[in-house]
Amino acid sequence: MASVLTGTSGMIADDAAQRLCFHCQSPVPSTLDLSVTIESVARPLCCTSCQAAVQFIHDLKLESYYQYREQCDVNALADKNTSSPDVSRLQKAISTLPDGRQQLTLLIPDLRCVACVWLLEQVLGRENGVDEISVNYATRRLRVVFDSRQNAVALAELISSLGYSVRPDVPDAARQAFSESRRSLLLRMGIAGIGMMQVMMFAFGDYFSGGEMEPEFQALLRWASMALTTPVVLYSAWPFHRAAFFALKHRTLTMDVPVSLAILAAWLLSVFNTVTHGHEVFFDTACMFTFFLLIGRYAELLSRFHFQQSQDLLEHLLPDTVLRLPVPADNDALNQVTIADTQRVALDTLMAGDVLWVLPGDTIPADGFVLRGQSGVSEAAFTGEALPQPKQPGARVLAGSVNHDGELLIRVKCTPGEFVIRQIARLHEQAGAWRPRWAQLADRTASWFIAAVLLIAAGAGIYWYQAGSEDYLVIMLTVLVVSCPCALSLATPVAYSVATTTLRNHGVVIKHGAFLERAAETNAVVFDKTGTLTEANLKVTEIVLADEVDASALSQHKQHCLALASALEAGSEHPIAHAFDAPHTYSVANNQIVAGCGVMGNIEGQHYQLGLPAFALETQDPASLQPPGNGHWIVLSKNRQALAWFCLQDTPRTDASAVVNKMHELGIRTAVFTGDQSMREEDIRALFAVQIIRTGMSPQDKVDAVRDLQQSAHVMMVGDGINDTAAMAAADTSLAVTPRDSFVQNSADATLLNGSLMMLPAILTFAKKCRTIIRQNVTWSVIYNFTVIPFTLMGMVPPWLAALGMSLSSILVVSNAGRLRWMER
Amino acid sequence: MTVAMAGEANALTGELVSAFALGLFSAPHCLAMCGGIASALLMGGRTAMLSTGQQPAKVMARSPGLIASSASPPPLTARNVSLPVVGDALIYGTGKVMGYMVLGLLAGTGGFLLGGMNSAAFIMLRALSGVLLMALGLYMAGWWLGVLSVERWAYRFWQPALRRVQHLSLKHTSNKLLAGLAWGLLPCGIVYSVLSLALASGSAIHGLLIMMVFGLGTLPFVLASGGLLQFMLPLLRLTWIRQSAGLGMIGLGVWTLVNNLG
Repeated sequence: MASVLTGTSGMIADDAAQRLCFHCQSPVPSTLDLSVTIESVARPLCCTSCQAAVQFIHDLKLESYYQYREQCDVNALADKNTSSPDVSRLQKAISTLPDGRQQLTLLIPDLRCVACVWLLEQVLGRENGVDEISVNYATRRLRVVFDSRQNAVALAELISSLGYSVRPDVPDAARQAFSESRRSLLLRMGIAGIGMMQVMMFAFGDYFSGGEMEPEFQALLRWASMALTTPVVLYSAWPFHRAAFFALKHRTLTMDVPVSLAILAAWLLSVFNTVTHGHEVFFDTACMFTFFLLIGRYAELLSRFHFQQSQDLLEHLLPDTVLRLPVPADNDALNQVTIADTQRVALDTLMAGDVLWVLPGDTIPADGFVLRGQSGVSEAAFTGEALPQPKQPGARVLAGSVNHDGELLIRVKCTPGEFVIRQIARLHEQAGAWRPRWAQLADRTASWFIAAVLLIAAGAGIYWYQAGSEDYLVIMLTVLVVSCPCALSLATPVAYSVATTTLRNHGVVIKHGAFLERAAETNAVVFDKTGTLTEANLKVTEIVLADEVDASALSQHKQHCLALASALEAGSEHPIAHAFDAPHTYSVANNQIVAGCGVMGNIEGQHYQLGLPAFALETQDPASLQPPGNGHWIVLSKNRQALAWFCLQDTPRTDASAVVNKMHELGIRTAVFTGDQSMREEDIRALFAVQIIRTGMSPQDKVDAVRDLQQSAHVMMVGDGINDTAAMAAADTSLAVTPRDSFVQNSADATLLNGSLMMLPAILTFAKKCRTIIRQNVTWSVIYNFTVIPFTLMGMVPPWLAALGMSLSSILVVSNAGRLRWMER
Repeated sequence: MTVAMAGEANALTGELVSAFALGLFSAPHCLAMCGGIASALLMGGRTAMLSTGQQPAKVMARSPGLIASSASPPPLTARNVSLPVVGDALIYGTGKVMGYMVLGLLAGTGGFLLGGMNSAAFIMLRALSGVLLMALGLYMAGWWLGVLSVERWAYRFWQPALRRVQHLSLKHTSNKLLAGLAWGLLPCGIVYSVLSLALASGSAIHGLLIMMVFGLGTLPFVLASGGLLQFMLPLLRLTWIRQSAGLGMIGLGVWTLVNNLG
């Protein structure tokens, strides 16, 4: 915009109806001739203020603001189209309003900043037939109301042409109820705020006059105040009255009781004094109490809302419909299918075994295996790690991850309800709602506290009355409000819900709410070795057959044994199982996993076992239990007679020793308990530098050893979550480092989905931070309540300060908990 | 306020009531006008950082990296975008209120120099402010645009001073504060009307306070107007809304006149 900004002048076309001010977009009076020349086009302005505003923005070199609006021109964007949103899905997002107009509600997950909000509003606002647009940055939702001149598909296409992905926002009863309560709370706050300001202005006049105001005028002010306060008390403060009523009806006392009492008492007394021309009115007090306490409520609601949002986003990662193929008969059929063979079906109708077509850029809709195609897949929703991971045929994929480059054909593994992402969503909700025992205790004793508050307030009132103070009523009301433990009731739950969400964003799913509390106390960590300190990327490096065979048939026999072993391990998630991935055609009957020992099952009528020699073999001769060499050997047996020995090798994690060192720096003891006998203690110590090492342990040994350690420490058990179930349960708390798709089976209190062990020290530090913040919150709220009450009793705290302190206290607690949104990694 | 006579107190209450009503009637227009400036200031800084030479819209274009990062919800956005914007808003807002306070101080001092409530000059001024209000109401309802020439006339004094903002680079906090201050000094009929109240207070401190309260009152709406703007604009275009706001303001003007002269 290198133009000259001229003051007046300019010829403006006569279509008065269309003339909107260039700056503020209000209509320009038809007789006004004021304009600014930009890029040699004269643009109308509505007033000198707007003219000055344009000049101001120009002088500050912020013209890009206007450029933005230019770029929002739909025609200019039409050719930037990416993939168009699919039409059938949109149906779910359209609803018809009572007046016949239609409403489209969309979730736009990649709304990145306030400028995006602005852009969407501008672009949609220019469309014909669009009546209302609201874009909510916090909830990432867009709502458009339009009439018959417009259609939903065109609007959705317009949005996706701007580069946003569009998902229908299917109305969800819980969330809708939530946003309704939010809206009504805002309205109540607004009314209370306006009422408060007005009434305070009137009270101000009374105050300034030093009580010498003419009686008629004073009465007028009081009646006006009453008219303004009544809706505030009856409508804005309604949630308090309602909650208080129900509490009393159920013979309990909640925080709402004193609050409601204070507001109603202030109002009723003032009404009485207004009618009878009595001494004093407290309309301003009633309004202030209502307004400030509503602010506290709002802070609380927002923090819950935030949690709800993170929950929603998790659910909304999944598309509503998927492209399903008829199940191909064999590999040839698989290679020949095209996208034309697909059919669009609803996600929730999927069954295990269905074959789906996933386009590049789309979200993978189901847990399963890749059948055909190669692509990079980002599992950011699970791990917090956005870099795409390569996926080939055979690789596992998770619903909710994003397919980047190539087309993939995937076979669905389970029904939608069992998808890992849905499990996470459920756990997330559970864990976020958890409260520590002392907080539950505080809740139970709250009604006694409130009873005490009511008595103290009454006592204060009586004392000051007999002492002859004019302010006895005000003091009594102030005590009622000031002692309300709002902040205390928020202190813990808000911190927990924020912390749970933060951890999930970093790839840590908490399954048990107590995890954070206990992790903060941890001063000893026990690692399982395989899959925890090592990659668990076991490979079969050597196969030794138990019986002599011809050299010519050797390799064939080895392949046969490998295939048998692979069949037995197919149902297991143990790291060892992944070493056996040879193709096979066997079906296994009675396939069982014996914890800490191995697997067994029947193949073609014969009983096979695979695992530790003592488990798989039946022999009197201890020598035959000896593996054929050093290292980690397991044996395959047929009817408990040795068939073949497999040597497995694992690689230590690169970050393992760094993590152990970091733990020592944090003053945390480390231990390795492993059932593996293949590595000697010295080797393990050399590799990982842990303090306590025990090898060759049975599951029961591990439990005992954990119990021993618990005599002197709070123990966290870190393992793969599948093998050491008992030891994990015995430890104070447990963390699973697991392949993400086996997430569901593990029994740990928390699960590390991104497999990065470096998260462990971060989690422990974060748990401490969480504990600190909760303690700060609780300390602050308790101190606040208990120091302010005496001052209030002495009549030293004016009501406005009490109410303001109350709401600031709540806000402080909520924003302090907000610090848990960040985690040092 | 120590030797406040009853009549004076009435007058002050009246002033405060009309200041409030004034804010109420003018809110729609304020939102559209100042909201635009707020958006430009807050977004201008952001886009400059985002684009670094690119077209802003291209930053928003779809690319795999962005989708991937957006799939994990928002610690990053919350930290990198919201906080600076809120900080900027506070700085600009502080500047704006400071601007108003300077005006209020000047007006209050002027009122003091004119010699208290009852001097003839003072009554004239108050009458003038009533007339100004009515003119504003007429403009708002779209019936008579005369008040614009007053604004234009006043703007002529300010313009040279205001144009100095072009030397400001908005990277520094102090400059942001100055830009905010200049923003407060932009010509605005509503500000002039409240200024007349400050003048009428007859005290430098009161004038300053009145303008400060007014400025604080405008802040939440103006700064949060990004979202409200779209909601307000269609309303603002409704003739009956504009006319009733205008009528309300004319009513205020009449009331000021009658109260003053009667």
